[in-house]
Amino acid sequence: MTGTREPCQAFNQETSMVASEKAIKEANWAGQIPLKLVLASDENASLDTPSPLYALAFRLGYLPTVAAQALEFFQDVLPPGTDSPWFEYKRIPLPWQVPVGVLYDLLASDHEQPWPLTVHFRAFPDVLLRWDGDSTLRAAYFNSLKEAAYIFQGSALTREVMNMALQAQNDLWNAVTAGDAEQYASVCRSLRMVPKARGERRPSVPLRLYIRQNHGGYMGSLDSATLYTSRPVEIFSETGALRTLREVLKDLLSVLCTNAEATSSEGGNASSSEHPDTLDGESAEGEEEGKGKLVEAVSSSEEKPKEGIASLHGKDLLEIPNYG
Amino acid sequence: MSDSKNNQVIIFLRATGDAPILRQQKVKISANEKFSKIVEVLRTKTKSEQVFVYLKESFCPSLDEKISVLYEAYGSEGRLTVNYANAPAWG
Repeated sequence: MTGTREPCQAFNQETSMVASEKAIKEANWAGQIPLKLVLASDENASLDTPSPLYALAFRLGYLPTVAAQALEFFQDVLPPGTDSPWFEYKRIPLPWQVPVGVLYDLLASDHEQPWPLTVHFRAFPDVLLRWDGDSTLRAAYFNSLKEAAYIFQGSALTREVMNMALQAQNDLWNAVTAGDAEQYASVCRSLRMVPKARGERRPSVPLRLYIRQNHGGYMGSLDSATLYTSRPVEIFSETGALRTLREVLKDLLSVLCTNAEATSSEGGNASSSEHPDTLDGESAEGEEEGKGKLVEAVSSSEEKPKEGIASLHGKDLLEIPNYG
Repeated sequence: MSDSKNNQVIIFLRATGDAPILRQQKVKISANEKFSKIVEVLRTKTKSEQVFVYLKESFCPSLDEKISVLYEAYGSEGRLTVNYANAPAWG
């Protein structure tokens, strides 16, 4: 990795924890991944093979923000139809809602650069969350932000996110797509995204975790190749000390990995039974009997649910057209 | 750990705004399903392609998230309450 020397130097100075944190953030924001975009061969309506497009994508950004550039580049050779951009790597459709850096770190073999991706504009695959145009990504981002706000401080802060002035929202979104750490920080300062205890809820931070779980072999989707979770994580341990990322990951990994083993083979690890992640099936059964017909079982078919859905967004807030 | 088939969560579907109130407001869904499954169920039940879904009357979680995790984080009294609306209710 380049451009990450400064944080190391900063650690040498006793008083520079804040400074080093800033440097790490800046390096994170500045990180870009070179992409080599090749148009899907069945979407080339011309006789020649178009040359690939080389582009840079911010690690903290999203693939659809590169799509506009790709569309402009490949537009002339596309067959007639509506443009719904999506990307694949080694035949794995890449979810548009996952930051580019996360996808790269999860999937790219041997840190290859540029990262060779195939870009499509037709036949949007079912395995990805539904794409309803550029507003989809922004809406998903703000929805995530709302969930984060809820985890930090409850619905009061969620309301603040919803009530953000349109200008502030635009500034925030532009900062994300343009990799502008400073502008992002200046908008976020007004949101006070800090953990706070409320009622019985202990102060927590939102955490999203992707774990590559197999190497080599056929991967049908990112889903089958990774373990994923997104959840609130308490910041204090039982003793009242601040938990480190290491401690949190250790706890979380033991749960996630045990669950994964348990679903693929019988038995699993004995320690899993004492973890709250195991749901109490009995109480659910009890309630079912109590309420009789009110409860309807929904079968857990193997069939992939048709994802997408639901505009989960506020039209006032996000100016999203109703597509329904 | 029990067989995943027995591992189910009760979802309480609560109508918001003008959304139709369902005859069956509770459904049982496998804890291993994703949140998108609930949205799919609501779409079928409300006979509408467009449904807005919220937890805690404030946000919609990642559609990729497992119901077990959401139940653990946001459930209470043995169930997970999901609000649904046919127009944006909480942004």
